[in-house]
Amino acid sequence: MRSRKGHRDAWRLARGMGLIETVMCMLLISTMLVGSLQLLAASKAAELSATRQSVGRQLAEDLMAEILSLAYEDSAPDGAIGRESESGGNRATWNDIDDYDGWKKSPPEYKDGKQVAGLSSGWERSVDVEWVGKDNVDLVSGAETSVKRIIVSVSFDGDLITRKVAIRTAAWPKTAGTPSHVLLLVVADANALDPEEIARSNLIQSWGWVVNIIDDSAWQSEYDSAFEQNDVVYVPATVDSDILLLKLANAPIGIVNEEPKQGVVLGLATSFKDFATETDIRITDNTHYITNTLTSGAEYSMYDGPSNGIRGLDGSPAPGNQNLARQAKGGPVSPQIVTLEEGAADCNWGFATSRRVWVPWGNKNTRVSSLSAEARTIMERAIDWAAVHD
Amino acid sequence: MMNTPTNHDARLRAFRSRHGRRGSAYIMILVTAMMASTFGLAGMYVSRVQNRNTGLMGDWKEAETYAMSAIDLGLLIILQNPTDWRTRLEADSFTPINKQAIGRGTCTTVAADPVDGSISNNNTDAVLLTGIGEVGKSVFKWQVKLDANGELVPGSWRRVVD
Repeated sequence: MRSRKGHRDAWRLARGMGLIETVMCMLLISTMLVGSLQLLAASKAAELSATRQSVGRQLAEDLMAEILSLAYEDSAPDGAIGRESESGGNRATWNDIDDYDGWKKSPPEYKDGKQVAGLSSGWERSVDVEWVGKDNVDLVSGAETSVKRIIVSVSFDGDLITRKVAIRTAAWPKTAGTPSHVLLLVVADANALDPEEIARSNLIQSWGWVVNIIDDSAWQSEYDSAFEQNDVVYVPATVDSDILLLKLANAPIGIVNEEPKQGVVLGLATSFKDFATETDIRITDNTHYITNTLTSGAEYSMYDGPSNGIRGLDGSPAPGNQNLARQAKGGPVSPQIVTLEEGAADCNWGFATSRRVWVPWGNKNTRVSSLSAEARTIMERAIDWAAVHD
Repeated sequence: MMNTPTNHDARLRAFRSRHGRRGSAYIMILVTAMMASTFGLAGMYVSRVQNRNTGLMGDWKEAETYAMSAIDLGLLIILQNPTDWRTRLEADSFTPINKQAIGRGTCTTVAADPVDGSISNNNTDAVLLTGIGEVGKSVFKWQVKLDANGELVPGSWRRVVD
């Protein structure tokens, strides 16, 4: 007979699961696993749908903005919807809204014919333009009514993702601009604008933006209110970062920044580097919207006139940075055009509350009139990109 | 010396049969399954929120376009009634276009005289034209200033936030 200790040892060794317990556990696990996997699949499908909706919306808004920037009708109208004499294959020559009627393109392209980066050939955009009644825009007319309805449709693999509708009438003035683009320009003194601030404002307005100004010394509450009224902020190098401080740090709208110290405040890097005698940058990434009209590896001067050098990031960069260009000469590499996506990690142990862009001509004495065509293109596209947010 | 069953061993066996360890395995499995389900449901909920936010942003941007269209339609009324547009706007109770269907929403045009509230009593008064776009729960308002001739003043665009 076993001793008491032997019984206890045997009892311990006998611990484990019986067959019935094992079968029951397997049944429970498999039931729960199936349910969880179905939930996961549904969750992924929903995420994919949201992503496609977002991309589709961006594509539709981009094309609609392009169309609405044009005139109601050609300067020599032929009394019909459609292109007058413009080439069907070159959108850059189209000069009125009904030139887009019947147009279809897959995969999506910019107006200059360059393909939108990162999109598969499954994406397609199409446009319909029709005369409609002014009292009922759903009533299509075969004759001139002074009201045109524009429908931009975006589909993926044949499935309609989104459709955008807008109206344009014969009353729309040529000087109206594109009101959906409102930019907040930070200035050193709102009561006495610096001539270069005025020059920047004029240049930005020529791109169809409405420009509002705010003093770098305004209260945070005024900035918070201004964020509600504007789509993007532009910070010229004329402002004083020691006065502007952290007022833009948590801005919910995108920021394009020239001022080097403010770039550090915005979390793009821990310091900046001055290249006082340099003018050229080299494109390192032209897949981004801001640089995709430029050639990767090519060098471009930021100045056509007197130069004030270029400034790039230094120190520790934000983990979420995307570097688009560096200085053309010398080393080590100092990124000259940098973007930080909304929600990406900045270098202040946090996350960017909106899109940020660093541009390289940040000197108080930089004249807008000296900026090269490439620099102006970068400026315009940086503002366009920063103004978009999901 | 032979080992004989003791009272202690018998009590152990009885205790084991009444308060067995088997139930603990079921509880562990159930708890693990519950956690897995919670994670799955949480992921599903996050996706729903993301989808809803994407939809709301789309509605908001669309309402913005309809607000601009409302301004445009208001300008057409002025263009087509060059001699009596002021009277016409007042006769329509300052809302010549009221929740007109467009796309997935509606557009409304409202005119106002910022000086004295009456558009038709003075031909030199400027006029504020407000276009309101509505899609679902999203409402967007653009406002522009018209000069004495009813022409849009460039750069006068303003977004109205209630």
